[in-house]
Amino acid sequence: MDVLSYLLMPLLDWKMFVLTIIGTLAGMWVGAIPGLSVTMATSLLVSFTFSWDIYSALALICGVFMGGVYGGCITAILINVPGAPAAVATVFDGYPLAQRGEAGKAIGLAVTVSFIGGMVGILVLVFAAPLVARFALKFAPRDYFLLGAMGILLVTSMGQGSTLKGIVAGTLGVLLSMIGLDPQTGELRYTFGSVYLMQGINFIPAMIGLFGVSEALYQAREGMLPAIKQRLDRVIPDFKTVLRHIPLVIRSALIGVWIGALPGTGGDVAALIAYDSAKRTVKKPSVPFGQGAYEGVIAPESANVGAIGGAFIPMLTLGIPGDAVTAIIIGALYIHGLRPGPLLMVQTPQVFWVIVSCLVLANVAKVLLVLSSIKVFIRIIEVPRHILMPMIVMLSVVGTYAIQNSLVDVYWMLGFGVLGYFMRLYGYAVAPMVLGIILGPILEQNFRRAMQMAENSPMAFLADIASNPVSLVLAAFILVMILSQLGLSRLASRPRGS
Amino acid sequence: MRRDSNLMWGDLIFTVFLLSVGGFAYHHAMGMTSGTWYSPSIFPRLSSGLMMVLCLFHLGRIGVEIRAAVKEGSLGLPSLGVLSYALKPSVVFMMAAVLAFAVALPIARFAPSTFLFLLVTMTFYSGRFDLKAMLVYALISLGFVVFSVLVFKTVFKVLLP
Repeated sequence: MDVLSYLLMPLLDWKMFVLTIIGTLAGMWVGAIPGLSVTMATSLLVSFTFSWDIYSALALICGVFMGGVYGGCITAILINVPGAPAAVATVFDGYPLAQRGEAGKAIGLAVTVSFIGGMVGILVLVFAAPLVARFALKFAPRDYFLLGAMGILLVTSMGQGSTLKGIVAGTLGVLLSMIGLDPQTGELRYTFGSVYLMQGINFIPAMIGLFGVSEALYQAREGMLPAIKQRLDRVIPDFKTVLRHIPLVIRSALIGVWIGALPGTGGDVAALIAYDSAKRTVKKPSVPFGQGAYEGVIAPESANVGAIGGAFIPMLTLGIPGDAVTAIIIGALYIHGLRPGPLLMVQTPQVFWVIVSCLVLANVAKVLLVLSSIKVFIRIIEVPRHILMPMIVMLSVVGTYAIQNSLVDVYWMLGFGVLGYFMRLYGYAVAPMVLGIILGPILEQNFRRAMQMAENSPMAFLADIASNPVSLVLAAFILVMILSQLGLSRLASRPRGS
Repeated sequence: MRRDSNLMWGDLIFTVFLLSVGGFAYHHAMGMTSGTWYSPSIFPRLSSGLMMVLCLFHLGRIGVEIRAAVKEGSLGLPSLGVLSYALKPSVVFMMAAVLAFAVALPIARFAPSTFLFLLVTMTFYSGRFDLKAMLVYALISLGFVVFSVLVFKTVFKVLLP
């Protein structure tokens, strides 16, 4: 009964209902504009919604997440530019479809399969998360350390740059997370006598600077490109086409769930893998892949949204983010006094069920919004960049100031923005750094606890890992994931059409 | 394909900067309580040490790249071009505008400083400095300021500077 009441909450509470719909629309808009990312929008929202109750904040954030992942495909299909990384594989066949005069059909098909893929991802989340959480209650500190290390090592997949630079960025994030009071001993670390540093670096200004301001600076460098006008035909997809491709949709969505559940990987990698898988397994595509095959749109669009459900599994059950957006949602939960991990599912299961129901509502809203008002919507995404970017910067400054009415936070945010700009310029992805800031304390505290339990002996620590099946599997998993990650990076950087 | 020489030198300088950050962090970690594998210094040392090793490795890679480019004769010595490549006037303008906006916020209050910031940056990045364009941007800025005040105060309940 309790579960049902929490599941129905976004439907019965008008405020949550409206916020989820607005979030979905805003997410689609952000996702559709190249250069604006869902991560940036979510980080801004966390700063504005921290004074709200947790359910309203989650409703808005879940809407933005769900809408944003889909939104990227609109520009991918219309103008050959993926609005978000998750839509990178949709370009391959989406744009040729638009060139054939089937842009509306491609967008309609994409949103329909995205809906089905989203539901598959949410269903897996509903059934898998309680099982994983129950299992994770048996985890020892060394296991959490291994999980955190896995997240840090895999963050490199978030950027498409060099693996080595990704790890450097992640390590820098871990280092920054150590500024302030050591929670175990109370010792001050890297504070240099400054009272501002004693509480450590506030996670939100760092995030807004790295994602928001650095993006604006980078766009300023590249030149504010004018928006391209588009025309659109019929968007409601052919029922037979959808029905014929249901097995491909489910298979791709499951690939998305699996990839999304791996810490550090997100919708972009899931979409590329699903596209690659479809190319290998679909014997008779509507036309050859790369020339406007429906299957080339269906597979990535089912997978990237499936990855959303997947990304929530490690976040809610283990406290390890599946991707950059769930990393920010972890920050939002911390702000509201909740600690993601196995105990979250036991002590506050309502949070889990509210997230599930908001995701379902956002998924439904996405389809209805696209099918009913896409023609109006594409007019909104034509706002010129030189008008949009100053607004984003202004929101970043005000959002940071609003956290604790402090200009010091704003200066930190600007500092991180400049650092993020140089990181982007020289090929260092910023997402690993943000994950490093979040995972740093988890890694450190659990490593130290594990070493205490091993009586200060590294050999005993290693022996503990070797003798415990869970730790051994996690350690082996890290090794396997590193090796396979090298393969994923190559796939992600594969040139178009190859 | 070889990278732009300004990008290559810039990458080298940025990596040296990160190496210095790692070295600085390691140096400070040496002064923290140590002695056991669970003391407060252990993780700062491990992470800064790892960062330095990776930066050194990357510097080695850049070194190889530079050597090959020098052999080809396609690489000049680092010059001020590295700086102007990274900090184009449009980037410097945005940095200065954001900083000025942040400083002006508590002095000039939210509405006037935001209006000015939006108007100046929109006009600058549009590249159109005629009166008609400025009037349009002034209207957009004014509309956005009014909208922001309403949204922040009523929906987000945020205290504006």
